Amino acid sequence: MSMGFEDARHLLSRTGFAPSPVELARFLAMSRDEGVRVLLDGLQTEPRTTPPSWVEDPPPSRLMRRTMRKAFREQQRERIRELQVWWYLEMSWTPSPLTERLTLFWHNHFVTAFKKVKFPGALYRQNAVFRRLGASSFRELLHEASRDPAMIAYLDNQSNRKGAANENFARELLELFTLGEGQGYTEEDIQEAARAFTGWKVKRATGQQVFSWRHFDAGEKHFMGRRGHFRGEDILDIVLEQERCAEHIVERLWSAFVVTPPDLGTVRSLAATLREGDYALRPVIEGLFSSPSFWAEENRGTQIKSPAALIVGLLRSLELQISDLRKLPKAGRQLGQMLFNPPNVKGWPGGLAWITSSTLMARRTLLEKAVSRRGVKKRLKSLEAWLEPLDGVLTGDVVERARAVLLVETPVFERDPSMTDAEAVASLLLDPAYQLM
Amino acid sequence: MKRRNFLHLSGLSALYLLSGCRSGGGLGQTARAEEPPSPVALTGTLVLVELGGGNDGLNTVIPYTDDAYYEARPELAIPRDAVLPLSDALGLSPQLEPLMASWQAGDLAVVSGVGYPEPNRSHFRSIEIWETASDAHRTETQGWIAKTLSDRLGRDVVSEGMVLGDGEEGPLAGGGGRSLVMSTPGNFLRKASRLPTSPVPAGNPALGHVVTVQNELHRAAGEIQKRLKRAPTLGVDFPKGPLGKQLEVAARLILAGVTVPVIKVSLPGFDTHAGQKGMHERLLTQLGACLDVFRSCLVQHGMWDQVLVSTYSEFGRRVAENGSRGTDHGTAAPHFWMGGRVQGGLYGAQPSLTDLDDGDLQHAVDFRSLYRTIAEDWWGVSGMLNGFERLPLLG
Repeated sequence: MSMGFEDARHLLSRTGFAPSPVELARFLAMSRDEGVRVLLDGLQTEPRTTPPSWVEDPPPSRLMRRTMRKAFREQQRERIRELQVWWYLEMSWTPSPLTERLTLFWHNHFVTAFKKVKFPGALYRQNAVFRRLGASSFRELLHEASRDPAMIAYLDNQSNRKGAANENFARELLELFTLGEGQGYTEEDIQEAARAFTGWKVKRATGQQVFSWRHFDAGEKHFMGRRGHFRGEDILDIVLEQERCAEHIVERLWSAFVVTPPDLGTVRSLAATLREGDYALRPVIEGLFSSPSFWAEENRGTQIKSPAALIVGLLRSLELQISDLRKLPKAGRQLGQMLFNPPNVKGWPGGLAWITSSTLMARRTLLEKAVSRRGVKKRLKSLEAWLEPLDGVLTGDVVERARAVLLVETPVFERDPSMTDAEAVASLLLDPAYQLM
Repeated sequence: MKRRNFLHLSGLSALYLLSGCRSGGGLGQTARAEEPPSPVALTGTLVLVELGGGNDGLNTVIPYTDDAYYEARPELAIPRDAVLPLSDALGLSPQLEPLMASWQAGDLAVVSGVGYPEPNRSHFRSIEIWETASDAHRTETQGWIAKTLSDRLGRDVVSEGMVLGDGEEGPLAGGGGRSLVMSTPGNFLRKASRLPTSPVPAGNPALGHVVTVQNELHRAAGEIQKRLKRAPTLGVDFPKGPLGKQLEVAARLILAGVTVPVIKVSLPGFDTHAGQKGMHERLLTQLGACLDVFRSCLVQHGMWDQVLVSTYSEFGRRVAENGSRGTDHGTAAPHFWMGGRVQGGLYGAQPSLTDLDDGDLQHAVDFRSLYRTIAEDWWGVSGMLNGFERLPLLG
């Protein structure tokens, strides 16, 4: 049974960025199950756009950094901007928005940030790992993300050595990345885990992860009731055995896509799916998108768009040809989300926290500027052509039909009858309801 | 759960509020209906002056009789006869000469050796520590002022706090969403006062939140503009430059009677790794001149008692100068308090220049003591930061 327009709009808005009429027309003919399957089958593992040319370059030498301090810093700042622009481009052009939503999700889970990592090449590399493994295996993802050079730098594992442990990574691993705060581990477990991760370093010349026997604490560790001469990988495997780990990941994934918290039964069931499939993520994501809670009324139009979702959604839904994305990093930052630079290791809190007095003003300023740009004005003057794929599906005049596509909730403010169609649709973008997905 | 200005808040919607936030083990948390803390009566405005980049305290409040100072800084040390003495042992950089008016009037306090245990020398991490009042190894997300005040501000307060210039929320982060970050206040206020308002729709907490924030913005902006219209003229000219501009706006807001607990301004540029002399002198010149004019303005209008100025910075700088005629990230540093109620004088203790912690000064006063002093003696909020001693800075 085909899902129809409203279901399609909900599915695409919630799992991607705001959909265009073309995307909506494609999905409304499918059943819910089919739609979910198509989304998952469409997941990408590589970016579709070309990243900046320098991403594979090795890091600059220490000597270069010291002698050309100011120039080096300028270069890094320019490069992180280029990297952000590239990611906005990828999000705007990808045939699979879900891929980028999942990449954003993992970026906000295995947090690292430019302000500390400072080497954009490492941040790109991590982004590529999230894209490649983001819907495949959490086991693989956890292992890769833990030994990733950006992560080693961000959580100070570089300084974690035998006899002088640095617990930062071990603590966040348990507290944030796998089990959740206070869930079944002790301070001693953190300390012992830190010992196991000694020796995981980044080789300065290449920017690659290496293992240093010299710094590795090879002694016996007691970790979560087990004893052994554990290395970092062993700690990760032990953690993956804990029921709480699968539950935590399920909860985190759930809250990215569903506003209402899951009940215990659903968490346990999806966690079991995750564990029994050796941490394959796809069945869990599929289960999440198929659950009654996902499709329920309370979950429609009740999530605040993140800055990335707002910006990219605007571009995608209106099918805008954007030639110059260079202003987007600054816009994202003013809205409270600088890509590759979350505020701290807990990531962006998201949800209602996206909207404060300041960020709401910044969002409105962005949208006001957008509707005055030539590309948007052109689109607003050719709404019928834009809506053509949905001919016969939607009713009402052109403004009504545009509203159905652009807003997932009834607008708060009434339409001003004195406005032209283009003005009326522009004002929909400034309606509070436009902030929702 | 924080109280928010929702007109309709069913139990179910309360759960929605929690689900957007990251919480470990946050399964099935129900909102506790807590008695909200009683509102704090605001008797004045805290003006936070952020010295961005890590101010070199040793060349700001100078231990001008200590030989070790001149030995450690053959090029950068301020010549002894240029220093403006505050005591037998400490003096001000000559660029801060305008602050002597405040010193002589007894409303400038200098707190020496402000820092914290296990200091972090990374900009972003250390400023985070200062802004959230966390221990060095913990990550907190809520700003210390948001934590202290957010639930206690009455309806008459126009905003939780204002950030002028290009600064970020910092100490105000994670509040009730009512702090205003205004890099161009005129523009901001104009736009915000023209926002359409609406009754808060029920049934969709996220939408309700957006509408509420929009309504609040409109109200706050309208209130501020109304008061600014009736405000007296400043009567002074602020120095040119970013800090002067921000403090001018702050002065206007205060003279207009805009009730806001804190205004944050910032002066960046203190990260003087190389060629420190010229840059630091220019910054201190700006700082001294701007604070002096700010003070004069408020004194003239009889509002100096209702203002407390406090500087802060992510860290001080190392004792020894480096090979590039600059200084690198350090630890403890002196900070200034100014205001009508401030009991002027020297507080804390100048750290030893020889008994160092890995080349850096050891702190004498934990910055959280200053915060506690503000919380209790300025805002009347007790129970915050109980592990730290207050200082008798306010009368």
